[in-house]
Amino acid sequence: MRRPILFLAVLAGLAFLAAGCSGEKREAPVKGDAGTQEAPAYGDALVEGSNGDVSGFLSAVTSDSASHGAANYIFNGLVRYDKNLKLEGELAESWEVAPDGKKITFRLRKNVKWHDNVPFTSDDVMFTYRKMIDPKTPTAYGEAFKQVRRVSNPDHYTVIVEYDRPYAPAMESWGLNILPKHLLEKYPDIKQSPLNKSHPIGTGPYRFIEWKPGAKIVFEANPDYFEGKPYIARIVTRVIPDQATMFLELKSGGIDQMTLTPLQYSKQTDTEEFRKNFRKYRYLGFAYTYLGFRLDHPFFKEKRVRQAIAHAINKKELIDGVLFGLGQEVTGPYKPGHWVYNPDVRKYPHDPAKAKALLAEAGWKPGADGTMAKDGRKFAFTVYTNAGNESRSKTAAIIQQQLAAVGIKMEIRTLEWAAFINEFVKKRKFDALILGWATGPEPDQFDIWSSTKTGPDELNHVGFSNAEVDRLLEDGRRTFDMEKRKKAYFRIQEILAEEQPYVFLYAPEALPVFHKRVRGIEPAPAGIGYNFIKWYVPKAEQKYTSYQ
Amino acid sequence: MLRYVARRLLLTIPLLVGISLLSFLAIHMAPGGPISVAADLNPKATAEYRERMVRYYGLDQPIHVQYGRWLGRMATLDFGESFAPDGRQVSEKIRERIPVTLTINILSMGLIFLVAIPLGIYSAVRKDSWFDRISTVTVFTGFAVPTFWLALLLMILFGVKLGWLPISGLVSLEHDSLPLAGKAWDRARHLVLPVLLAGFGGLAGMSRYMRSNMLEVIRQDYIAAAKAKGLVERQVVFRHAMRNALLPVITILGLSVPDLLGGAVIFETIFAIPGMGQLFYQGVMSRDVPLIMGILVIGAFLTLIGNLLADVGYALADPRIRAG
Amino acid sequence: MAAGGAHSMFFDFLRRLARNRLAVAGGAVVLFFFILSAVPQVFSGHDPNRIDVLKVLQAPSAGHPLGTDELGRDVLARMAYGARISLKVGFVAVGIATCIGLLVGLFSGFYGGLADAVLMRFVDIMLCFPTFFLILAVIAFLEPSIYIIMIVIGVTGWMGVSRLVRAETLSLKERDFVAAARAQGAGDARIIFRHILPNTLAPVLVAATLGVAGAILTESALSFLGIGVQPPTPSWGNILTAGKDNIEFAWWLSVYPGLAILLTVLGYNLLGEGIRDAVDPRLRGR
Repeated sequence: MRRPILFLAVLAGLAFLAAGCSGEKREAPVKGDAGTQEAPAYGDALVEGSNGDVSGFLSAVTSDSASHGAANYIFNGLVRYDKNLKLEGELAESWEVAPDGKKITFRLRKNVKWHDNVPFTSDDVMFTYRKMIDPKTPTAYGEAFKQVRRVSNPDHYTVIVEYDRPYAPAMESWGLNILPKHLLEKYPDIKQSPLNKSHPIGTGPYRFIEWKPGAKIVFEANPDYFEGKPYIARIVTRVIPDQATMFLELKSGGIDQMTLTPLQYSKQTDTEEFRKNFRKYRYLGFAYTYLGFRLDHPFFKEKRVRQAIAHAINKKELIDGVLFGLGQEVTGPYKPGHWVYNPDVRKYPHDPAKAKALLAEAGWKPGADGTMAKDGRKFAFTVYTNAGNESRSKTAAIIQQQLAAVGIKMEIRTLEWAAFINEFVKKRKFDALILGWATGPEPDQFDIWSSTKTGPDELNHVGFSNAEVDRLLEDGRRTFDMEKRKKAYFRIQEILAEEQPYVFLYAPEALPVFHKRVRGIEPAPAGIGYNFIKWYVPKAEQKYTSYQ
Repeated sequence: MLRYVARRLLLTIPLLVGISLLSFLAIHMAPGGPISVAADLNPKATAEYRERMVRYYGLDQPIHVQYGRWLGRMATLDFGESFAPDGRQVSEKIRERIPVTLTINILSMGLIFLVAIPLGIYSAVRKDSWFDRISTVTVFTGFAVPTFWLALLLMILFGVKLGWLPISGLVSLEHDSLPLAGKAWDRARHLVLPVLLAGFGGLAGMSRYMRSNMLEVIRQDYIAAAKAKGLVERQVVFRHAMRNALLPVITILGLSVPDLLGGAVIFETIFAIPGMGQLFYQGVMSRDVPLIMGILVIGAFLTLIGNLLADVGYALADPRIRAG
Repeated sequence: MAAGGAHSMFFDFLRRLARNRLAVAGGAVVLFFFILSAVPQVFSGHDPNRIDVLKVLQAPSAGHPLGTDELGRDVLARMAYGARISLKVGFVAVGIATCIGLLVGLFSGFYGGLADAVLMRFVDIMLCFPTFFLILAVIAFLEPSIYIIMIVIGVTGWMGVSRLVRAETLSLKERDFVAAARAQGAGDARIIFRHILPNTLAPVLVAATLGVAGAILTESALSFLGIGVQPPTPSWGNILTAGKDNIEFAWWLSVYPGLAILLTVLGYNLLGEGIRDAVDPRLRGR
């Protein structure tokens, strides 16, 4: 399982990219199993299944969840989120934010060593910062560091970061993996370095042992880890492309951990045999799925049409049909329970009559075949989504039927991910799309909603533009005052709910499953991955005893 | 014999040239040419990629020079860097994957040989018997069943229910710490299902071919003559008919290389085997042009080699070919 | 050739075919699924795309004889309409392959010379590339619509037919009736299409029958990889692919499409072999 990773807004290409991000505890572990007080023991291996292989080990220059997961075993950031989603020090022992919010001083831990025994110092932090703003570094995460005016390191264990203006997402941005200067400085492009491609060396709880491309990645516990040696001696990530195969591997003992699909969770794991060997968890991750409209489309530039579609969609049916109830309705870009979540925004209960009325107001009348028409043009459009994501294609099929009930004809086109993003999303060649965002505790969503972020490679692909939202987004990121931020984001949610640039559909739950011999997993608001170095297998139950 | 091999080798040269020409055209006929494909995929590094691709394909050169370079690169198996995020050399990626795919293919070919030939012969000798019918239906079932479905059914049976065989992968975790014999056993156990499956799928082609060859040979005069001389049927079959029927089968082995390679995409994905088929599929899904071209060319090479070996084998077995 | 002669030859052929029990069984299976695809509504009154999230993954029952799928759709209806799609893919793809193969083979065999050499070397080269790799590579750059799939399977599958037709043409063009036609002043086109083509059709028919089976299998393999016929349009391949993820829990979702593909492909193969044997009593193998 993964520790909370850097919470950057990334396109959620995979269903459960946000696994391990956060959430709330729903299903208490069975008493008497996790509750028994065996002494934590060192040893054993945890084998996790992954659909995809890693593409590199430096998270600054990779963007897939498999690679980020691997990087987070090997590397540390200055800060991280704790179990309650509060920022805490990791490589930084402590930090201060100056009263004007423009300066952060990090004091670094003194006993940290890279896996090759070279001491970690502030030079490494300086180096990492320089690489993040270096145009030669092909990173998708440089934005937060371009806000920095100056970074300095008066001594080996102090780093001072200065900003022109207060920048609230700054703290979180320093959770990025810190890179070893002494190993990387001779590579102009860190992506091409052996550290990224074959032999990562970090400060993290696990050391890299081997990578067999397409097959597995192996890590071993770092005995010198500054927070103590992790109990589980080895972690093996096995690459298994097919979901059905992976599930059979789990049942036959080939892997110890995987992420279940809602279908597997609700229908296929309800046997005596399964309960005897495995423990399932569920928590709401920081991800949601939406139906987005291209806002300059002749149909969708009309607000009432978007609102009509919102009324036509039955979110409950989506959650039942797609997630088997393992998820929640969302009304905006923040999940229920988030500190900026605004429960009092305009809601769109399922109401086909209201939807038809709104369409009528906008000039759409039912034609001879029942399909809405206006000025001789039928209300028919195509929704695009990516292939290989069962939840999304099911969502599309259900929405298709729901819209047909109000006289809207929706075609579905599923496209392979690369083609979908490059040919359709970036080039704005879509009427509407079904997609998801994996976000995080930091509420700043400037990149998604700002009218300045509508370029081909930017994330406001629906072309949302609202002067008040632009101002509020700026307000929200320019203060560290929680109350002021909350006010800005509350108002943003009201506007988004009114405007419906997306129909916000649902937030799926993350559904990890573990072999029962693994103990110490304690679901918390941050999910389960936050304390994985404390996970253990009691001596008597250890399985891989010769494999260490 | 050497002269035959030399002549046969010479014959592959036009094919090699053809393969290179076809792949060269394919790259350049892709909508917008190689650059646009590359740039589309990596918007972040557009300029850099553009430059690199121009250099790689020598796009600033006249077309015949470009082709000359492509030929040179093909000869040295240099297909450039993969577009995948890891940006590794295509040839290196293929090299680390190819042994697995070849091993499974060779093993399943051996299995096909072992089973299909006796089956084909016996079916021919007992033409229209129940044995013939059942074996006909069986071998066609192997061809007709969707591989991934049968694979999952076998995994459930042997992996989950009976627990005899591992589900997927190539070796178990403890592989490296096992003694030599244990290592071999571990590998063998992992290979059982994929090889069985690939073999079952390819049985039909070979056994049907063997059967019809055998039927044709049996009808021939010298067999009838042998029978007339009073030889026991078994002897006739084995001494006279089999040898002549067997010969053409060698060539079909070479022809089955492309089918087996194609099938590798499916069973390597379902069995999580890090081979060339899986690599190709990943390349296709991420539109990794250098990788796709590299594997296509290597696949064609392998087919050529397969055909060459089959022809040489045929010539070794049948002197008439050499002389002719 | 007199019409009466052709007629009795055809009946001879049917008689021989009818004696081959496996071919008859294969033909029956083929016929059954053909009817299923022609009139799917007779087999199931349900709409194959009607979603009902309250009826997800229900086991076979009177209302849904083959159960329901992961969106509560009737599996029988989807199988029946899927038959139409799967067979369509098979027939159109093979139609394309056969047309190209016929033209290339006739041309190459009839004219010989340089054109023949070039075309046949081209065939050799095409045969070097693993067909499934070619199909994947092409689909990667186009969209996996049902039409693209049919075309791609077609244009990568004509080489065998062309070789077959070329060989037939080579021997046919030396025959007396061709010489006779030429003596009567028939042009090349007339000779090729009126006299040679009809005589090559028997082996082509066999190849086409086997080709349909292959195309159906290819579609299911593409569906497994997520680039076959795209849902919600049902095809046997994508029903089976959705079924594989429920293989232990909802067996009906994989067993029925799996068996349908298996039986159909088997049926076409047995029928094809039967036709071959019946056309050519000498049991020539190929």
